[in-house]
Amino acid sequence: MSTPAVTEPAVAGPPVTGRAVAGRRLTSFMPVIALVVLLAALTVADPGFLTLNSLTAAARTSAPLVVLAAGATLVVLCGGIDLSIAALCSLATVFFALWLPDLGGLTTVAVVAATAAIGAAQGVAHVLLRIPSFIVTLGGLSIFSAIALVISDAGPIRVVDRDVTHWLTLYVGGVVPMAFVVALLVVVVVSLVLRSTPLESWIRATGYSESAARLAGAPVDVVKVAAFTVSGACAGLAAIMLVSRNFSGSPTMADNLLLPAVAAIVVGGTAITGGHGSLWRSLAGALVVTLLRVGLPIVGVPSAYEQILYGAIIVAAVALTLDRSKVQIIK
Amino acid sequence: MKFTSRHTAAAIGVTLAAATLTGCTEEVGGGGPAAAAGACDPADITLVGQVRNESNPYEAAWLDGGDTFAEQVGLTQQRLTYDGDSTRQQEQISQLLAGDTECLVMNVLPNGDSDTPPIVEGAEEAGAYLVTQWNKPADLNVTDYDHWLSHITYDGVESGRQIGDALAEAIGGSGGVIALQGVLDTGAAKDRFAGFEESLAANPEVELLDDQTANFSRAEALEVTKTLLTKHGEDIEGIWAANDDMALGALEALEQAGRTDVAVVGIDAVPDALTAIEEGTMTATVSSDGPWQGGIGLAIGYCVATGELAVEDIADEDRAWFAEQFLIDQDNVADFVSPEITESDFACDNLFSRSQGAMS
Repeated sequence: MSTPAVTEPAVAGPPVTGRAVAGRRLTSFMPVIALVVLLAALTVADPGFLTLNSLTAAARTSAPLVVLAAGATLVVLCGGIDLSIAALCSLATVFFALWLPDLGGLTTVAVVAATAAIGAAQGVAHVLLRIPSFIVTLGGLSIFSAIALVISDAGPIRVVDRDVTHWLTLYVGGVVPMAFVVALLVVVVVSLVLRSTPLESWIRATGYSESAARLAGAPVDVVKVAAFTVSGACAGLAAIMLVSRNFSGSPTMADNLLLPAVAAIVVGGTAITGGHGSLWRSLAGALVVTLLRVGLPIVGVPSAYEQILYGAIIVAAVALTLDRSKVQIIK
Repeated sequence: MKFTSRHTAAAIGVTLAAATLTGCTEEVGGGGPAAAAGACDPADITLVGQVRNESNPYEAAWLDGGDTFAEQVGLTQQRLTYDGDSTRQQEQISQLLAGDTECLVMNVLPNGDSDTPPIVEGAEEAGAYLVTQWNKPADLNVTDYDHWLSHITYDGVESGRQIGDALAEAIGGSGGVIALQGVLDTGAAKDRFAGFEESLAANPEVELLDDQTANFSRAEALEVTKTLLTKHGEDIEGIWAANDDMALGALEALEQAGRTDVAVVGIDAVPDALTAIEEGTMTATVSSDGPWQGGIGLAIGYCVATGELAVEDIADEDRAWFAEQFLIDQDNVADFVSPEITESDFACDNLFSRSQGAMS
C-alpha cells in the first residue's frame, strides 16, 4: 500500500522545541479541558448537576449530536461543509416511521443505506458538477425538508412498534446509554479506518490544499464522495437514535441540530477551513455543546441569558481549542 | 506513528477525568421506583414549569402564574423554555428527570401531540409528578399511569361557538361574515371551526361568505383579508378568526382599507387583542387564563406530592378534562388586562373546580 507523500504544513515550520511539544500536547487536550471546565462551572452553579444520573442523561442526549457531528467532520476535514445533515436526519426519522410497519427489523439498515445513498448523491453532485459543497448541501437542506414535509403530511408520525429501536434505549452495565456507546463506536471505527489506511492523509491533504493533493496523486474526488456518504449515513443513524427516544418521526425533528453540530465541530478545534482536526475533537465538542444546551437551563440560567452565555461560551471555547499553528488562514 | 503517544495520553487523560467525576458522584433519586405518593416534605418539592417561549406573552403569563403559586407555598418555580423545538424539550425533560425526581412536580406544555408520550413515560419511570396541558394523542390514557396526574385542555368547539355567537350579536344577528381558519391539520383549528359552524346554524341570518386558512399567522391573515375585502367588499360585516394573531392581521387589513364598521373576533386573549377590545376595534376573544394554567398544574402535583390528595382519589373525569374558558368583550376586558390569581383556585380541595367535563 503506497501512502502519498503529503505532510502537514506545520511540520515544515521552525524546529520543534521541547516547549513547543508540550504546548502542542496541551492544545490537543484543549477540547477535553474545555469540557471539564464547563462541567465544573455547571457544578458550581448547581451542585446537584454533577451526579451519575445526570451525566448519564447528558451522554444519552448527546448521542445523536455526536453522530451527526462525527459524520460532518469528515466533510469539513476535506475542506467542505455539509449543511444538509440535520434536514436529512429529519427526513430519515420520517422514513423510519413510514417504513417500519413494512420492513420491521430491516428498517434501521434501510434508513442508513438510504441516507448514505443521498449523501453520496450530494458528494457526486459536488465533485462532478463542481458546485461548492456549501451550495449543494444548502440545496439538499431545503429539498430534504420539503420532501419530509410532503411525505409526512407535515406532521409527526408516531412509532407504536418500539421493538426495533428498543436496543438503543438500553444501558450498558446499567449506566452507559447504548445510544452513546453506538456513537462512541462510530467515532472509534471511523477514526481507526482512517488511521489504518491512507485515507487520513488523503483527507488531510485534500483539506489543506486540494491542488497539491491532486498533484500528489490523492484520489480527491473519491475521498470527497466517500466523506459525504459517511456524513449521510451518520445522519440516518442519528435519526434512529432520535426516533428511539421520541417514539415518533417528524419532518422537523432534527432541524435545530444543524448549528449545534457545526458548533460541535468547531468547538472541538477542527478547522472549518479543512485539513486540521479529528473525530475525537468533534466528540468532545458535541459533549460541550450538549452540556450547554441541557445544562444551562437545568442549573437555572434564565432563558434570556442562556442564549447570551451559549454564544459567549462557544466563542471562548473555540478560542481555547483551535490550534493556530496548524491553521494558517482564518476565514 | 508519532500520534500514538499523544493519543494514548489523551485517552488516559479522559479516563482519569471520567474516573475523577464518577469518584465524586453519588446516586441521587431518579431511576428507581418512586416513593409512595404523599411522602414529600413541602420544602423538598421542586416545581418546574415548561413552555415553548417566554417571548410569547401568553406563555410568559403562564410561567408567571406558576411563580405566583410557588410563592404561595413558599417555593420557587424553575422556568424552562424550549423555543418550540420538540427535540430540545425532550432533552430538557430527560436531563431534569436525571436529577432528584422523588419530589419533582412538572407542569408541561408539550410541543405537539406526539411529544407527550416520551415525557409521560420518562416521568412515570422516574417517579416525578406530571401535569400536561393542551396536547396529547387521543389514544393515550392518563388513567393508565400513576404519575401522570392530569391532562388539561380546552374545548375548541366551545370557544369557536362562543366567539361565533359574539360576532353574530355584534352585527345585529344578520349579515355576511368571513372566517379565517388556523393550520387545518391541527385539532384546535378543526374544533374551533366546528364550533363556529354550530353558531352559524343557530344564527341562520348570518351568512358565511367565504372561509380561508391563514395558518394562525398574522401576516397571512393580513393578505387573505385584503383579498377577501376586495372580493366581497361592503358585504363583509364581520370576521371570525381562529386565533387572535389572525384577528389582529385582519384588523390591519381593515385599517388599510379604511373600514371601521367590521366586527372582528379571535381566540387566545393575547395582550394586543385585549388592547384592541379596550379600544373598541375588536369585538371579542376567548381566554384560557394562562396564569391559572401555570399555577394549576403545579398545584395538582404539589397536592399529590405532599399527600393532601391521592392519585387514586382523583376522579377519572378529572384525569383528562376541559377547563373553563372565558369570553372577553368590552364589558369585562378590564378584568383580564392584568389577570389576578385567586389563591383559593389552587387549594387542594378546589383543584378541579374549573372542569367543564372529561375530554371526550
